[in-house]
Amino acid sequence: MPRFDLERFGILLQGSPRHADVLLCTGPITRQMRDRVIRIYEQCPEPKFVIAVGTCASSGRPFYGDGNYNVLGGVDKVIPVNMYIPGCPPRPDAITYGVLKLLASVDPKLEKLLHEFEQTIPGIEASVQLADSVEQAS
Amino acid sequence: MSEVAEKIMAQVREDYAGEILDATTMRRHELVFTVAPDQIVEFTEFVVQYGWWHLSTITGVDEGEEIAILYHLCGEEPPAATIRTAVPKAAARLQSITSVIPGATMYEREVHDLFGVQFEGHPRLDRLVLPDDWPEGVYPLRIEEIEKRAAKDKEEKEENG
Amino acid sequence: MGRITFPIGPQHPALKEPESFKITAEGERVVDADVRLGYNHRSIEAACQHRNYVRGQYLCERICGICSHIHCNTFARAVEELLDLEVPMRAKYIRTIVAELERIHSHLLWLGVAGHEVGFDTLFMYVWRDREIVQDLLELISGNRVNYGMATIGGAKMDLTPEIVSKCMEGCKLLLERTEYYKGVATTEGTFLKRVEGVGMLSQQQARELGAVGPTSRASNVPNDIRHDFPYDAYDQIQMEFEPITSDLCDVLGRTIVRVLETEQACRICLDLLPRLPEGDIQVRARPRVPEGETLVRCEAPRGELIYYMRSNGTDKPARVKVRTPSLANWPAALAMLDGAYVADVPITIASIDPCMACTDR
Repeated sequence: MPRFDLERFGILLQGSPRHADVLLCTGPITRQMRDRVIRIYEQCPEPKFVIAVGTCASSGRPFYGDGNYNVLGGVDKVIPVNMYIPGCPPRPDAITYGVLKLLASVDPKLEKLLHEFEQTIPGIEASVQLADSVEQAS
Repeated sequence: MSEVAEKIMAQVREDYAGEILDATTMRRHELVFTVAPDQIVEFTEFVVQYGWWHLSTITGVDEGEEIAILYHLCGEEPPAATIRTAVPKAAARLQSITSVIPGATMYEREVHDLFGVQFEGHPRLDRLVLPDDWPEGVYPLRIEEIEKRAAKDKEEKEENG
Repeated sequence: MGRITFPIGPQHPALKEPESFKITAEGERVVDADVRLGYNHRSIEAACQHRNYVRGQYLCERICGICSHIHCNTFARAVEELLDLEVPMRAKYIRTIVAELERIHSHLLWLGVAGHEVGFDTLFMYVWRDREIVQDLLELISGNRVNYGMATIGGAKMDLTPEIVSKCMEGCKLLLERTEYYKGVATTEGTFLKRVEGVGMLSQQQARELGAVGPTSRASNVPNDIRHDFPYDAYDQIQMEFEPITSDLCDVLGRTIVRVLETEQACRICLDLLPRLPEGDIQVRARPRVPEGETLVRCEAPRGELIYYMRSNGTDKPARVKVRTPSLANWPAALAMLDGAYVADVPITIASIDPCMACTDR
């Protein structure tokens, strides 16, 4: 079976934002996508979190700036982001760790699992960045 | 230029009934034929029967006063051919070649979107890549727009330090 | 019967990237289909005119994640033509090997996604597990799973040591075995065949007229393959028999078979080139200022013909970079395939051209 698996942590991929707690966003925000992203974010029920996966989702670079006319920036230009996972592309382990770390920051029961994951890949703590405010949940 | 390519170029010049303004090469595998804008459909029809049946893409290049439109065609072996024509920027209209090559629809839409060239006879000249709320009459790949953006970027960089 | 028009997208569980379709259906049959592109338009061509060639290559590599190397490679080849630079043969071999490994990775990715679109999730899981073999090889060679950056302007970035070469050969041999298995699945598995046989028909004449490229056109018996017709890099050094792989089925099954056979062919090309890597440097120095000129380079990306037109003006920034990706060329063919199709077959028909919206919109 595939080597990288989020489902073993009890996380399922859903087709509709109305069934989701966490929104994973990749890629920079273009002018055409701006309203659609906001609408999808509003369709997610509270409590909800947003993870920006990739350098272009976190900051818009390299597409933003220097001659571009259609990119507004990273995901945080339009919706509040709770976790940044930079990388071009980020490794699957980093994405798994980022999702786990976000969930562990709101659910202390997952902290032990998080520490075990950190033991398996030394240095993975540096690959993700939690945003300052995670009060969406509680 | 290889011998084969020279022969083919000479043959095309001889066989074509209308006027070819110029015939040169561009690097290794490419012959370039320049024609006037009103000859474009006729020449494309002629050249397609010559063996260059696949349209790779249509490129627009802003050359200051004129916008050059390049039609890149290829067949099953080198050399390939590019047809070059130019329209004045102030009155950028050209006949569409979708009657000869139906696959040209998307490429002509893109040149229309980004350079503002009107293709007469095109079945549907809608937006292709620009967003719905993009202002009319602003063509982002024209040199004036590029210079405007460069000036804006420079200002922003100086502001942010 | 009344007609109903419904949208699919821009965000939809069946779609991997944003694109908006308007499907008009009469009962279960599609009578009209339209697509709105541009959700991913990142103004790459305009941005390249503001950046020097090195930054432009970095940006163009990120047009697409799945076919990143071929963009990097073709940009480098275009600049090398403008500079009249001859790249060392070892670098050409390395670029070709990475391009073929990328083709394997792209086709296996597609096969998994196609399995998922027809509801065959077991195939999806199996194929993506086997895709990890080629991802490991690419990470070993370049350090990254996509966006390898292996082609620089002037050669290849990193050399292949003898250990890497032997690991790659082992990996390719293993992939050959696995591809045999998938060939069997694609041609004999009844549940899969019922979903893909006769679906998404595209006649040979339609494929030629609408400008389809890559496996989409080769599955309609149009034998164009840039590696064979306009050889570049080390493709003219291949010693084994190398012909474009075609099929006359003209449907999604034909495209599946073409892609699986191309994966096998790509493994064999790697096994042919790896033991014969010539000695020598992997890079020559390139000047930052490119003399005036224009050039056109073509290559065969995993999805079809990729073409770069570049014009230089004597400075270190290009005057025009034009990219036409194969996904854009295949859209008229995809819309033609949807005519008369069942609504339930729409996802797999669209997926059969291997659409990459990031490539289409640039």
